[in-house]
Amino acid sequence: MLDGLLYRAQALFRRKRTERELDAELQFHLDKLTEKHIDDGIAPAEAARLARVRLGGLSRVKEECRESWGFSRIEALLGDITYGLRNLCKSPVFTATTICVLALSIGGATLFFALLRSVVLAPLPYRSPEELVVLSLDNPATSTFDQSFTVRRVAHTRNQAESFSAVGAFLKWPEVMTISSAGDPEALVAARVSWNFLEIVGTQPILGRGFVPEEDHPSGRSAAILSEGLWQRRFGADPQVTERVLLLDSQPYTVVGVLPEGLDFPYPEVDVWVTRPSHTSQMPARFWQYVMTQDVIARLEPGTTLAQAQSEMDSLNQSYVSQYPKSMDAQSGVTVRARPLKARVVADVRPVLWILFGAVCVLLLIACTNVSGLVLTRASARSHEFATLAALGAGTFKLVSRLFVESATVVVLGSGLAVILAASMIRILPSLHMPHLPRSDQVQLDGGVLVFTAGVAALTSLAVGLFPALEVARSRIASLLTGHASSANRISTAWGKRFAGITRQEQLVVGQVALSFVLMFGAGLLVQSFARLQSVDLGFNPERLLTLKIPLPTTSYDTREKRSVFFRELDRRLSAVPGIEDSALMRSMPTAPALFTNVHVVGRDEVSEREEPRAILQSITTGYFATMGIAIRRGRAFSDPDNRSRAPPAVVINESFARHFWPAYPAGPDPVGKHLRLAFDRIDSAEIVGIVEDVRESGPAEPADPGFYLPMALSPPDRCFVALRTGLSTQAAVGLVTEALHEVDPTLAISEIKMMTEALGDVLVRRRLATALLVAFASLALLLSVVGLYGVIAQLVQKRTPEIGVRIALGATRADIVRMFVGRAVALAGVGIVTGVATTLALGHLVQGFVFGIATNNSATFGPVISFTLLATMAAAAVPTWRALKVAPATAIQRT
Amino acid sequence: MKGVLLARIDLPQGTLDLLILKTVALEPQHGWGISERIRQVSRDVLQIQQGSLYPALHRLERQGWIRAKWGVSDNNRRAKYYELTPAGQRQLEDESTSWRALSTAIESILDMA
Repeated sequence: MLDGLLYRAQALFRRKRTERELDAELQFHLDKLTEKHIDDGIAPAEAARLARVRLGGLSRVKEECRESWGFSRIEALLGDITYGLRNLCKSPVFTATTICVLALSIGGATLFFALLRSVVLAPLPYRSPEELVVLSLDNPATSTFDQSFTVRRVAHTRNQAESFSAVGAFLKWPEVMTISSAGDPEALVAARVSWNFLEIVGTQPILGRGFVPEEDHPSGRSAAILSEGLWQRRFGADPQVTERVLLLDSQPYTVVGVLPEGLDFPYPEVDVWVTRPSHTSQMPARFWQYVMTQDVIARLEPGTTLAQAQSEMDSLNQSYVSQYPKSMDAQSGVTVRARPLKARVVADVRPVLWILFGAVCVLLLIACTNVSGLVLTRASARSHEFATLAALGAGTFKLVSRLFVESATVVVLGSGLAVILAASMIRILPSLHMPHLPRSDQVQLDGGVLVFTAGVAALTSLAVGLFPALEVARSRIASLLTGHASSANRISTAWGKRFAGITRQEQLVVGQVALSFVLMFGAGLLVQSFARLQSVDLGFNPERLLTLKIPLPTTSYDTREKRSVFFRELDRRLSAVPGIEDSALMRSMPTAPALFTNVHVVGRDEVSEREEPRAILQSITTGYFATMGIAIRRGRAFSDPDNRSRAPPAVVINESFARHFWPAYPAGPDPVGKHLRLAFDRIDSAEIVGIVEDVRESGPAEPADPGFYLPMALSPPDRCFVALRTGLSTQAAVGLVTEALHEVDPTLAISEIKMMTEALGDVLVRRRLATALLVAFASLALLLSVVGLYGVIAQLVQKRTPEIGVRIALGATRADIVRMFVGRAVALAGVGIVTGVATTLALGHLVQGFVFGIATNNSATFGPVISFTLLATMAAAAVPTWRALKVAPATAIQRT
Repeated sequence: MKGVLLARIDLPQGTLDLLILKTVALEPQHGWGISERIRQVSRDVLQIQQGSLYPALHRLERQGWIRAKWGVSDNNRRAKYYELTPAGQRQLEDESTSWRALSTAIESILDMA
């Protein structure tokens, strides 16, 4: 192999000499032959001529010799490329169109492959990441999944499990802590983790050390580890930062270390890590031991499989449930699930990325089919050229390779452009700020992605190059075999085919229509479900609603009274601020995590506290319903006398709550006037004074949960959200709120400032992006199919122009002719649509999880997509037909 | 004139290589000499189609069975001489053996009484 290459390389360099030698060699032969003829008595001139004839054409012999040198193939390839380029330059529109189509589709495939590779497929940046697993609780009986552990269950697992070399826990949600030393108060994102978390993920601090077990103990010293970003931003990368004492939520924490950027554990963008994972500020300390707030991370013992760990977890679960039957996480039917950490990290984006990658591959397939059809059409328009080539002695191989090289050149150019496109998209990716796309900053166009692109380009070359070339060769051989090579005869064969069935180009168009139908249907589904999501009644009015968060340090606000006083004071001052139309304080904000607590209707059968139904607890000030625009259905809202610590407890419920406990609601017994026992705030009997409409706390895609409202004074949270409706700019409004806040307490800071519409948009951002992209893909697909259809019909019209002339001369109306061609187009599109419908019905379940509020086989989506496809088809067919009709019949007939 | 055979007998596929190898095995020879030798030895029965001789020579050279050297011909002209390589020698033996086997087989069929 290497020898052969070497020989060819040498031959290529010695090219000139070899040529001269060949000339000399053949000349010698000719001279000898001539001499011999002269000896036989032939005149010298005639002898020379005869000699050349006997040699059989000098140039032909030379060409055959060159072929056996081997480098002629390389030369032929170069020749074909030059020829192809020249040819492509001759039809710039065709060339530019195909290059763009290929660049877009190959670029899209490259981009999404790079995304899949870096976001979904790449291993996590931890030591032996495949050994990391997370544990969660599922309970199919109550349809609750992905629940967290209690502290007790974490300890049970840590003490008993043998599949793991280490078990750690972290608080399932990030907390906000206010830092009040080393500068102005600032709200930080804090992660509460067990002391061993660094050991488990296997990351080394860039400064200082990790936590030690004593720091996890309630009586131990409070320690904190800073992120590299915070360390640089707030401490000027001071190497002496360790052993410094910071005030976080007014409590002293000793800095023990600094962690590198990009750790992203347990969540992205953490500023500070602290220990004691159960000590959440969202709940009073007496609940810490009993609520399910602990997410568990563990490292598999080397050599242990996930399945082994899972079966050990199953048996540990049984022993736990029998040992602690009263525990909140020991309800009947609960199971433990062990899964790789990565599965959890990418769980939300994986389906979206696969759907989009699939869509872009379908688009690529359409593009290939389309370009293939274009090449074929062009090839049949160039049959003269090929006939000439054949007459000059070019073999079938030569024709195929020439056509193939020409298409492959287009594909190579398109792929080059595709890589540039994908690279620039990847470059701007981090600046698009997609908090919902984990690891998007790590996306890169590396060797693996380029290999993928090269593979795609190779396959594309085969599809758009080899297939049409072979098709041309096949028809050429067919015409050679029948002994007719004239173009007239070829047309008549084509005619025969037309009446017999559908041509190759038409088959390609049917395929395109079918594939783009699938994409359009998918896009239609997403658009419809997105429209549904946007028109969902949230239960409140998000327009001009500004929300922000104020965390309260547990040290200075350690009693309910202190917090109540603070809330009342802040509420009073805010309502006096000019420019703020309405304002209210609340425990949690729609789109942010809500607090589920036990409720019991007084007078009903007692069950154990663990089995009591749960509902969202929302603590509010009296202006809440008015500010949010939540309608009161029955009874009344809270008034000022309700919002006092010693007032008789009053509660307002939402309609889901009413339906849950009084299934006949709105008929049947009236919930208003009944009493609830609310364990969380130790309220034995609170009177239901009103019913309000449901609010979708988790965003439009999630149904409303049963919920109830308590006055802030009866259930003062450890931090609060402020909602204001204002016409002021965000900055001005925040300035006014900060002013009012600092009048009450100058040590507090504001965080998470957002317009409500923006927060809702964030919830839908991934869906919006996926929908927009799929719509773009589908539009491109439709455009390609329409162009393909147009091409086929235009070619058909061109070929049958003489026939049109005859028909018109015989009295056919123009409408008849149009009907004839449009009918053909519609028939083709019809076959494509039927195939497309069948495919979507078969594949619909793939997007089921991503569709909101509609079935994946609903006629409301099929109808518009089908009519749209048909309309586009008719337009694509009518245009070339009308153009043909402008030709006078006589001219048309003469064109034969 | 394309495709007209000047030989009295069509050379069966692949035999041209065998004949060339055999001819240059005796002594290094140029293309003209090879074609003349084959014609003479076969008493004018086999006549190589001139057009296919040189491509065959170049192909055999590339396969490494013969190698070319420039020499001086009988009437003092520079000519390209081909000689057999050791690989060519082996190839010649293989081909001769299989050719003999084939022709014996065909003969015995033709001789069937």
